Amino acid sequence: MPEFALIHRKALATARTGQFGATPAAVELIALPECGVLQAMAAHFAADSEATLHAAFKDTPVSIRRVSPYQWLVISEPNVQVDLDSIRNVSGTRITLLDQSHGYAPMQISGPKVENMLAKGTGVDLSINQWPVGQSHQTLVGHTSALVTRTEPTKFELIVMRSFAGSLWDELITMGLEFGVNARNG
Amino acid sequence: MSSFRLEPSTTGAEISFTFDGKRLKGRAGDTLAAALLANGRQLVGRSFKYHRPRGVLTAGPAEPNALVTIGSGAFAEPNTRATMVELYDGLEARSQNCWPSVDFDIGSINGLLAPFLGAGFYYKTFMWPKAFWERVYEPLIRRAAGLGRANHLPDPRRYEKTWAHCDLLIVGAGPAGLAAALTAGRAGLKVILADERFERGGTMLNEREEPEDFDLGEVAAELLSLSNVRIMMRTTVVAHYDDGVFGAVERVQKHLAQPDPNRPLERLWRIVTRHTILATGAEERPIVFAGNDLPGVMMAGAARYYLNRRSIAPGKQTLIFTNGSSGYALAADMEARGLTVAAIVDPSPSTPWAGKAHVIDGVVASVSGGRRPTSASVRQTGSSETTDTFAVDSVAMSGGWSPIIHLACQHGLKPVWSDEFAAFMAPEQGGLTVAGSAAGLSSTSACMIDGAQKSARICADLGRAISPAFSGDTETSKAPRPLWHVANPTGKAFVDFQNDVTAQDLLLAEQEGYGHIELAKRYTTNGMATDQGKLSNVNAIGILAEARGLSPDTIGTTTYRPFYTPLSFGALSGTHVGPHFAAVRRSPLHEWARKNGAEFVESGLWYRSSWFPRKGETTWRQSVDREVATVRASAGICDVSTLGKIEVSGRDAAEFLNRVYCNPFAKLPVGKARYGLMLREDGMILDDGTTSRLTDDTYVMTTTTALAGPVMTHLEFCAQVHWPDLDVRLASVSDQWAQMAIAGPRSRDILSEIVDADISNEAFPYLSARDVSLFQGALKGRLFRISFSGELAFELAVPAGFAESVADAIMQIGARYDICAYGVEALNVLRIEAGHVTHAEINGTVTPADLGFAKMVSAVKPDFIGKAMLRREGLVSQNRPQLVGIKPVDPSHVFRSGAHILNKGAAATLENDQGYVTSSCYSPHLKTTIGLALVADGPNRHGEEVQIWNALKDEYCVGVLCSPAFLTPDGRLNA
Repeated sequence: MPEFALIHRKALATARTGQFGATPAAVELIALPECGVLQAMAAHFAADSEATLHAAFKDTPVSIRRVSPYQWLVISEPNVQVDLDSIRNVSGTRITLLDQSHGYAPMQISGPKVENMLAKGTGVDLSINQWPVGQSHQTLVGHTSALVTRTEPTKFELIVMRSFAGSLWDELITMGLEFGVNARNG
Repeated sequence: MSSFRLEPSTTGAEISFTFDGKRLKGRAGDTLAAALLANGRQLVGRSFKYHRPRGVLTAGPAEPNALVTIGSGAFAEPNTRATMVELYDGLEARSQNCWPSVDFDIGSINGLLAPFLGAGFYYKTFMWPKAFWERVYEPLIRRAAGLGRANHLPDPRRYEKTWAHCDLLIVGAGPAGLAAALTAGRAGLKVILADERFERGGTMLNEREEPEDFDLGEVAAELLSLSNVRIMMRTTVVAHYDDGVFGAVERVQKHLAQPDPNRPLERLWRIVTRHTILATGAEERPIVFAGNDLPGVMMAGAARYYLNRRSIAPGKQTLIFTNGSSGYALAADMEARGLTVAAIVDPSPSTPWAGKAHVIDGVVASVSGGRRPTSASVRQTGSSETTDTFAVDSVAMSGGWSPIIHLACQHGLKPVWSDEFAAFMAPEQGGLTVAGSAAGLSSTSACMIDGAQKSARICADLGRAISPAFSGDTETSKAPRPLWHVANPTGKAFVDFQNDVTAQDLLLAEQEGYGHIELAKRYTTNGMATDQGKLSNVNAIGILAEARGLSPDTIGTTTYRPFYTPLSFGALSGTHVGPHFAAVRRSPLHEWARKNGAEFVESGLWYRSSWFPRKGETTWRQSVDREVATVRASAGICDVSTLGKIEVSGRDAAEFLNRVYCNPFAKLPVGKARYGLMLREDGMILDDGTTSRLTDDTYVMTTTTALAGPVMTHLEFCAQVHWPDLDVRLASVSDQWAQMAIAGPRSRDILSEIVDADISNEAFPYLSARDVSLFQGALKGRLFRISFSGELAFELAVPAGFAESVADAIMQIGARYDICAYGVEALNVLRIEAGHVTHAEINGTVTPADLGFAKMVSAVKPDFIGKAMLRREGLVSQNRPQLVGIKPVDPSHVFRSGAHILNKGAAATLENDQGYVTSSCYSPHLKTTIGLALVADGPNRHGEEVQIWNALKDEYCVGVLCSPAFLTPDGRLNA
């Protein structure tokens, strides 16, 4: 058999980067390294499934984000190894865990004008008292549904289905033109 | 004498602009209307129907007359209200609805025909011959009447949409709105104060002096210092939707000569609020008297704005016709500036007056003149004849005030007539408070106090008690008895200026049985057009009420709907125009396809590779024929990642699938794929695809590209609503897995070099589906032995990020076998040759039996979606259009999809229609055009000659019906 190099290609590998719109840029847009994404699903009649999920990941450094009733995305940093078998031992059949690491692309926007920028895409109230740090919303951002998490007062992470990533990236740049966007790979 | 700017002028830097190509000077801070008036340019437009000369009537958004086109070419914006346009250097304005010019307009001949052009004229006159209405009369009438013309060029400017959230939305930055904002701002509420003007102050801008305890500058400064208050000027709140959502349009850069390309021209806001204060003010009503539409006749309040704010005098001899205090205030302002008021005419004089002008208890019977007033005839109360005639050059009028309550009435609630205020008032409703002159108050200080007090009440309700920023007594004077129109006019007395509706027209409508307010509106066109009757509706109601001897309360109003003022399509569409109309989805193999030379085609949101031209191929057909031939001769690889992939798991996954598919799924073994048909409740096919059982309780379903979303929605609906007792979990894995079809006799040879397991026919027979290890354990994928081409074929799924590497490897190995990449065009030819259906056939009108799948439908399952309705009489009739193959009798003949099938010798009529061609292509295998068709009783008519007829393309061909499986006559897959 011939030798083949298996190269992982980022969803945003060909996305536009550079400085867009007003200068100096008040918004930074970063294509984050693709992280571990597990989709967790429970039967809708399963009680305390969220507690079970948290218990299963007790010893793993992940971020568990609500997507919809009985559905979560479990996000881990790219270098974190998640031992699915031992986690499944805890969650049992009550929770289905699916590897979707290739199905989603993460990106981040930050800067003082980030609320004004995202307000062009989502109807969710972005003020910090309504949307505190650590909270996630699955919401439309422009054309595209994304899981948006406030990670710092002026920083949001967006996780979007891979096939939509380039489209959302372009739309975010458009939303940020008046503030100036520095778009780059991270 | 025309209007003119008083000197010395203190009103801003000089600005140059053009009107109808003529260069004029204005001042910074002028509206276009103000600048035109300052230049003595009073005639600015022609009316809709009679082409009568018209001038600036108001100083605000209700302006019916001064409609102009701003800009030219792609930037031209017709029907712009000159009263709302901020002057900027180089502004280009043009008059509308006139030819050759606004000063000399041939169309004004319509005015001579006026006796024949009354209400209902068109309906009565252009009745015969009937066919002429659409072809002759209507186009002619539309050409003669009208406003500005839209251009057909794409608008190059940017627009956008955005959201805002607040505790309190205050609409209107006049005294009531400012006081309310100050109170709520001090209380710490999150406040949005929106106003359509560019200056704060509302009707205070009309005043010579500010009230004692209200310093506009101070209030504004405090508001601007509060971080919880957002002041949005140049922002018209145009719509009130459910649940406290308001729509507003911000004119972000329309006032700038050099717009910033990074910012939008206009921005549409969706404002979500807990409570709203309408401090929208009141509209001054015109008085309906003969000649009230001459340029030079203006609303008294507007005249005050131009005089006090912009130092523009309406003329040198001004007659004031007023029903209430507004006219007296103007008279005082004019006399203070040394201007002459010819007389104040008041039908119910009760306002104290100590000025020079003579007050006449009476009405203005008529104003005469050509393009501006020259004289006015006045009739004293009690007299039926003209008693005084004045030489005048301008007239100001005030018929009283109507609260602006549009936003309070967009939810189906009707305004309520108040005799006390002689006006229609806002209906009461939760979450919305009306304050200031919108609530019937008149003095600036009363409005201010009202705004502050109501705001304080809302603050208390929202848990932030505070004392009002201003307090005192809000008692107001009683409104004078309304004067709807001057009886027995001696000329045209206009109710609706924009649509040329006179008091006579309304009386005629009443006489002819169209007196109901909604009918009168349509019969006369009163209240239509771009101003939607802001100045005319209340007078029209009053006139109809008087004619019928009823109260305006009984007549009622027409229906209020969004939007309050016109807004551009640009603002409504925002950034989602042209290629940004929808999101774009890209396959994980998009870049791979591109580097292999693919031409792409839009398929829903996706861009799919449609063919891969090679050197020397000049037409798409050459490429597609070559791709098809290569697949049949050796192998091809095709990106099928866009097909929907849904993972179905949970304890009851098998039972769930068994209920959503019409064919059995309960006993599908692990490691096997099965073709499934999913029906709608009505028995028609929803979608098809293969579903594979990977473990006991894990399945992966494939859907068609187009229905990936709808099928997921359908499954979720079934799981959540039909069978909440089943433990089933659904996840779209469409984006996790890239999928490629490797088809052709050499496909196994190629794949066996990267798949670690044995994939021989014995080890991996047709319809196998398994997790596989690739590249000696380097990667895990999923392999399916399924075929859409009739050839030996596999589909390989790999994690999306590795898709390009894997496809490269397959191409590299396949080079030895002459593999080619093929696109959806070749895919389509291959499947038509094999007789496989897609959504060209599954078009919402077909049952399983129609496509030859009758035997797939389970007769033993207790239930499945669509089972009951599938038994309907019409769905089992033998004469239903059913799937057949079709080809031309002469192989050189061509037909295309959409063509209809007729029996041999039958005339081309609807009754003779036998069906239609659903798919067609050129088959390089059979060297002729072939197609699939839905034909009445088709399966029993193989071999029959028919006509293939396409009226749209004027094409005709003799065809023969045949089996849909062009390759293997028994219909079996060539696996």
